[in-house]
Amino acid sequence: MFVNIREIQIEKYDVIVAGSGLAAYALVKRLARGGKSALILESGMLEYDGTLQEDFTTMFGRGHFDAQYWPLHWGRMLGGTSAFWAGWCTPLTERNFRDWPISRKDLDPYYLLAAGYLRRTDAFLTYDKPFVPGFDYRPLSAEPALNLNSEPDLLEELSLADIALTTTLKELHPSDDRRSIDAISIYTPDGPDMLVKLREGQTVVLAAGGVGNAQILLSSSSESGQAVGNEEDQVGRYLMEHPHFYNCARILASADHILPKLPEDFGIAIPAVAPDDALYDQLGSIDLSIELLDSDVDLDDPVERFLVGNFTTPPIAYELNVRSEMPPEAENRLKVAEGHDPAGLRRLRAICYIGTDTFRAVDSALEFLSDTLVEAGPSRLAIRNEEIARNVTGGGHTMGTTRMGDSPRTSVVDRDCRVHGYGNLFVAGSSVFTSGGYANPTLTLMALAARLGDKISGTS
Amino acid sequence: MKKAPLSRRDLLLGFTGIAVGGAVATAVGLTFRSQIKKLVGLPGTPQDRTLPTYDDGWLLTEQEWAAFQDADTAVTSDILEVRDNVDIPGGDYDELKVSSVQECVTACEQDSSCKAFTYARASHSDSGKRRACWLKSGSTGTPVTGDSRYVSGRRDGW
Ligand SMILES: Cc1cc2nc3c(=O)[nH]c(=O)nc-3n(C[C@H](O)[C@H](O)[C@H](O)COP(=O)(O)OP(=O)(O)OC[C@H]3O[C@@H](n4cnc5c(N)ncnc54)[C@H](O)[C@@H]3O)c2cc1C
Repeated sequence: MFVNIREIQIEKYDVIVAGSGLAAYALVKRLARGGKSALILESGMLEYDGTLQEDFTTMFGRGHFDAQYWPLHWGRMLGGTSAFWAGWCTPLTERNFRDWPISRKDLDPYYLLAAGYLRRTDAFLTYDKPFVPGFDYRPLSAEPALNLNSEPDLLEELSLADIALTTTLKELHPSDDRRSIDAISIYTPDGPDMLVKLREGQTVVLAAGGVGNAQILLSSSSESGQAVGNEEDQVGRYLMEHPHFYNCARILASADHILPKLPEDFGIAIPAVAPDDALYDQLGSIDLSIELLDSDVDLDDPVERFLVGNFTTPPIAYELNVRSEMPPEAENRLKVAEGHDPAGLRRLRAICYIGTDTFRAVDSALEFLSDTLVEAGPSRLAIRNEEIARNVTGGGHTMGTTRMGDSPRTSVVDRDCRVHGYGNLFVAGSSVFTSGGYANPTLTLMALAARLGDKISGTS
Repeated sequence: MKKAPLSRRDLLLGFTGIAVGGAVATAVGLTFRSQIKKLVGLPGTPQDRTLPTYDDGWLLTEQEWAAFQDADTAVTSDILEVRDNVDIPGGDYDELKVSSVQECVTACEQDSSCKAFTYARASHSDSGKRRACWLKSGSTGTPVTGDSRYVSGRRDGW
């Protein structure tokens, strides 16, 4: 239920969670299964508020994803960014875990749980069919998006959990030996900041979004100057998005290239193909997905008009959207910048550029697909350079800023999502992704959060 | 001046529509190995292009490319006097999208009110004009010669 932070006994909760988005939702559901209670601190309100949104999320930045970009993809309200997401889901595949300390197998049971939380059958988790040489048909699941803001009961009625709205986790206070978090500071707009001593066994989980998780750590430096979890200067680094190239190519196809029929239980799907393992290797192990969306033959395009004559039956047309991986780079990062938000958290600066390898992988994959079509018959592909080189955008997928790894030198959390060195501090969300594949992140971040719930409650 | 706070709509920007896939696939018997060879060394090395690229981005075979360009070659007509590299300004009463000069010539031949035509080649710098065919009435402007983007013709001589 909803509680007022100033009227409750905070020490009675086993876990204190910052953020009430889909990461927190999956986490708290599993915590309850393991008998652990949770207090969710949510800095937003029940309803979306434009001023609050802007006051809390304003930041600085440059690059392909700049200062305007990140705040538009980080919702400040009950349910967080779930109020805006599109609901497209697909799991990371085995190859995407190459640099992670865990594998797809570790997440398999949790992918099932996450699919269930999102009210989907599990058909899309494993569906995969050869399409043309080099590419497998791997459609995305696009069932209606679970929006925790428009269904507040889902959060309010979570068992063993309470939610404090307009309540912001503003700082973590480490113990002298930096082996745990001793206390936290909490901001609400209606009173002085609260300093809350944690009791023995109390755990903190950051589930404040891909920017928010790093922000809380980077803002927790009052005592020593060295921010919590940032002992090796890793927090905020490896910032990643999924570069999206909308309408960057087009296919005129014969009946040979009609897409496979999906099983009934797949539900609503976005038709898409992904490179098979051999092609993926050749693309420099940069993963990507090419959506093939139904379109009409464009007789105003002279080439298309000309090509139509090559088909024995009327061709079908597809518009192509590509979503690619962006390899983790330490210099793509969030850093503390000038000023503070209303709670006193540091404002951040994002520097985030997409590298040449990513653009080249997209171009090469499209060219490869074209060669394949040419060899097979009359189907042809057009590449729109402008859309690849200049109109790239993101998907609202903020990843990598509290990266998972075995070594504290190159990561922030360990394979259990625990901040290296700190016994009672964990992170839930796409900020823990070691690399991003091309898969929309939410299903995976929910699977990781559910797994974290089991880890914390000792049931896994 | 403070700008308006972010609206819900602002945050939804970037969200794209949902399409549903379907239908039946046919397996394509292709040799994947031969394809792979072409791409060895990626990424980082400029690859050997196997196909000429039209600047609109369609990746055509050499034969298709040649055939496509052929369709821009001026043709002769019994009814119209066709001239290469000429633009006739004004007098348009209809604009068609055609796939060859021939198609434009035929359209003008078959319409007795068509006194002249101008055709824009597929290589025209303005992509909106490529393979456009303007049918013209009698009252046209002075023809502009030496413009390789166009082919024109007149019913009653030049
Ligand atoms: C337009 C759009 C479309 C998208 N479409 C898709 C899609 O189709 N598929 C997909 O997989 N993903 C999609 N995403 C991404 C998806 O929305 C996110 O991955 C997901 O919602 C993140 O969940 P989260 O719980 O980690 O973070 P959030 O939902 O961002 O939740 C974080 C919460 O923490 C709160 N908070 C922040 N800081 C603090 C603090 N210090 N103290 C207390 N509370 C705090 C915030 O107010 C917020 O409520 C999309 C995103 C956008 C913007």
